[in-house]
Amino acid sequence: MLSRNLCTALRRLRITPARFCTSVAAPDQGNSGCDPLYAGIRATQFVTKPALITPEDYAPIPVYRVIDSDGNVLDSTQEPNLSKETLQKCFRDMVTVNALDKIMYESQRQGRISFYMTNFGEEASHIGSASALSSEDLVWAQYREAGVLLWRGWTLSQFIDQLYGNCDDEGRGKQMPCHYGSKKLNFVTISSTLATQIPQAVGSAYVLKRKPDNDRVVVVYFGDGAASEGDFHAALNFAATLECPVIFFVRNNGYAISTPVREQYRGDGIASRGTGYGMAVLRVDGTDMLAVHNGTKMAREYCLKNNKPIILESMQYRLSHHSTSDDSSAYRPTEELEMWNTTENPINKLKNYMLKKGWFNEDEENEFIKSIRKQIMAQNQLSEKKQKPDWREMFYDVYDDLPLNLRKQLKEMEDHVARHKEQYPLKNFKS
Amino acid sequence: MKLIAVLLLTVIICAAVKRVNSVEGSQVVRIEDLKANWKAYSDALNDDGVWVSWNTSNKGVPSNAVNAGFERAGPCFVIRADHTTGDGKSVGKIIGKYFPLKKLSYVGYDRVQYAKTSFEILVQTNNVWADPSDSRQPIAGTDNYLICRSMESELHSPGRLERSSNNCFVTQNGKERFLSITVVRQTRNVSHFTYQPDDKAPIEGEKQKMNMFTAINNAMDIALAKDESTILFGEDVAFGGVFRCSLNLKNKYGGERVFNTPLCEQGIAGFAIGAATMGAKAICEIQFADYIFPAFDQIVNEAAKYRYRSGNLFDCGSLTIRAPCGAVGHGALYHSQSPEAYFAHTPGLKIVVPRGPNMAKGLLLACLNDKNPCIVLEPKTLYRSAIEDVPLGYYESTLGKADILRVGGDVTLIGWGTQVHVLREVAEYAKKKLNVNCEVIDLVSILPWDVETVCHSVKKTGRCLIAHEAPITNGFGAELAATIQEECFLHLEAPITRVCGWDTPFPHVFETFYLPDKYRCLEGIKKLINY
Ligand SMILES: Cc1ncc(C[n+]2csc(CCOP(=O)(O)OP(=O)(O)O)c2C)c(N)n1
Ligand SMILES: [Mg+2]
Repeated sequence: MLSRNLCTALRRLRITPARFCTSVAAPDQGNSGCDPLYAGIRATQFVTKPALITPEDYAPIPVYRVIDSDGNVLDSTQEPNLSKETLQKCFRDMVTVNALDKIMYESQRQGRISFYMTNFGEEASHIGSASALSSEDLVWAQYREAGVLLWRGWTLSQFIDQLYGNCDDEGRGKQMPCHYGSKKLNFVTISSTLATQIPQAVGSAYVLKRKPDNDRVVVVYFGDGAASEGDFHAALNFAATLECPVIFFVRNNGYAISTPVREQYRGDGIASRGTGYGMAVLRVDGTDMLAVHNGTKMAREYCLKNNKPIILESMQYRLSHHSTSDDSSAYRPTEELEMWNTTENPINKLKNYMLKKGWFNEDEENEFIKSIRKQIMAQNQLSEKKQKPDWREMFYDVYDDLPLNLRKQLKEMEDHVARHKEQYPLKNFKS
Repeated sequence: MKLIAVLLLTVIICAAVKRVNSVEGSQVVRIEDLKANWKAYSDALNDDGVWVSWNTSNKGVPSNAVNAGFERAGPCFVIRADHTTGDGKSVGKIIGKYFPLKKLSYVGYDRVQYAKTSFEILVQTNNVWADPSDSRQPIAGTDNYLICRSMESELHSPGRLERSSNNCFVTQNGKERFLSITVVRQTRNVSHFTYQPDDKAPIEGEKQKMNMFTAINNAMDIALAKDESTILFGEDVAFGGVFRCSLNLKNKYGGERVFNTPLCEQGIAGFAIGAATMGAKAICEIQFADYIFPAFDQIVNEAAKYRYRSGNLFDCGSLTIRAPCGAVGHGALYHSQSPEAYFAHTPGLKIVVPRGPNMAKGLLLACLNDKNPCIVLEPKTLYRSAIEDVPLGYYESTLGKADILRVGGDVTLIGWGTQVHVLREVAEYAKKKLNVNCEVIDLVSILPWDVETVCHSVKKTGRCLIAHEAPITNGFGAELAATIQEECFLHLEAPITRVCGWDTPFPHVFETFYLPDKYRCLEGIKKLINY
């Protein structure tokens, strides 16, 4: 009697009884379809013997693939309907990120820029996801997602000007290299502090949801390491309870600097956590551009239709050193890279697929790589020569205007610099 | 002085490695040997660079080899090789380039390009290329040549800059060309300060040359050996830490005592508090002080108040948090901050900032032994560049005590961490240019701070300048100034001056304009004197 009343009460609170999770070992007895007796659990099922549920009781989350490493389509119903032109853009953007990375990495080594982070081995996750989103969808990135921005149309000069922090850098020389951002392209400026963007993305998704006829989602990218931060937990729980259309795109690339995933977490990847938050999940092969594309498309539709979040876990390998401050040979054997550099390399895999379709012209693509390298090198030269912004820029954008204390400090520094011109690298800065 | 330091370092490296080749009297160190002896290896990676023998059959290049350019054959690295002319005359070492992808290396001499198969390759952590007119000291080169780089096209090539004539030569297409157009010369990395080692060692006994990360490593080694309960952990600590402070300690003490944590600062601090509450000596590393804020609650509300709120039933006094802080030249907003003032607002914590290797070791050991939770903020720019003779034995530097580093009667200069070195240099300037005698105080300990030493000095000089990298408003200088005016009011000849970071986030390309550099500090002294 009491329990019936409770069930009715809960129903009024719009908590609906649901099926018992089938992937968990079935309990020995009980009435599996009953209304919950306790608030906040899926179903009330009494058992008369205690039974632990261990991680092994859950089925592993599968990895969705469209092609194998030779480019063969594994299930013809899964081949996305991408035109030759679109596929070519996908391939070329992946190659461009790769070329940009190689040249800018070397430039850092030469002391021309102060820092750089490469994206080797992760290109398909960028292009596969970006190509399945609407350009109106809001992106919050971590730092290893250059391809997403490139897909949306950020130019080589915009990339390289940011790396030099010169007068044409839209970020005005304030942040370290690779901290890109573009208002126009719906790509929120990157911050170095890990995972802070994840709950922020949820907040922005909430606002989108409230708009009439909303057709935008929010995508937030982060790594397997960042997912250990408290902010990650907060974000998932908020997104689930506040029902926000946000895709949590995890780039699970095996490492956070030197820390292998084995020392980062013990669950089944990051996706398995979604279930705990009452959230849908999907895991894709992050080196298979087509799988990432389809997966993102599905995730996006799910978010929009249900106003719910989803975890999309992209499995890949960080071929790069963490950054130019890192030498990964100190913590991983080079043999480990072999497979990811060859058979499981995202660029090779896409190329194989295109070859099979007869949509790949070797000469044309070689010509393209050559010309893009040339363009990058020329742009590098140009961006390096540009002056830095006026040094007074340092005082601006702390607030919307210059408050009195900053006006005074700016004046003080102006006077000081005027008296000591020879001590400051003024010719490198605009005035 | 600098030359002596370089020479000493070279001697040490050479003495420390197992196999040493001798080429024309100069000593060549093999990278494999250096790697086997990690200490020598890390010492070698200071700003001066070392030449490592190498040949085209080796795989790739040593890590931290200096990349000078990018040509059609791929990236090219700075090398030098002995050269003998056609008629058998040795012309000594010539600077050239190596393309590891194509396994080609060249030097140029007398307008001809020569291929080489064995050579020496330059290994160095920081290299900066500057205009030949730049006044900074060039680094590594040969007796007759400096390293330079052509800048004529998008392809940069390393070449040799003749010391005598300032002419630059690079090789291309089988020829050696003379370049009259823009060249840049390799120089020491720019920094806004000149590091000065302490004159006196903290204790007697056997010493060894160490840079700051090695001294910290040595302190943690001692702590782990001394007390079995000691554990050391944080992000990437197991492989040695991103600043190499925990190098080899996992091998020595095992993964149960030296380990990686998941990437979560609040987790690290909370875990450390729990471990300390159980009596373990917990040393935890926050990878950058800029990333300590997720742990703010654990540190400020928990660690700091543990003893107080439990009526001394529980405490986490055996907890020490280490975090790299401060400007480093290119760290921008999130790899440069000095957050000491945030924590100084928290009774129950102790906070220290070392100025070099000796201090770093002594303070860390003192913090570990102290019965209160401590934070050591380590200026990251000093990890490699600061080198001192550090005693190998156990010693502690007193917490809560400031150091007078230079005695003077006219103005008291107060700083901590890297800024101490700026102030030391400024003091010499002030003497030379203004005939003003400055007293330089390293505050060392932010909380508690040494009111007695500071106020004693200010009463003597009547003038006080405080400098720190953190923004001026509510920086720790504000606390010093308030107390000093209260204690020394009648002795003050001029208002207390603060020269600090501006009230903005820490900017990337504007760092030179942001820091309280020696010119701004010197202006501050003038103001005090002319008041
Ligand atoms: C709050 C915070 N803590 C630590 C760091 C230092 N840090 C920068 S990147 C990184 C590893 C991140 O790994 P992951 O999230 O897996 O991304 P990946 O580099 O593999 O793409 C760490 C520890 C940081 N930037 N922010
Ligand atoms: Mg990762």
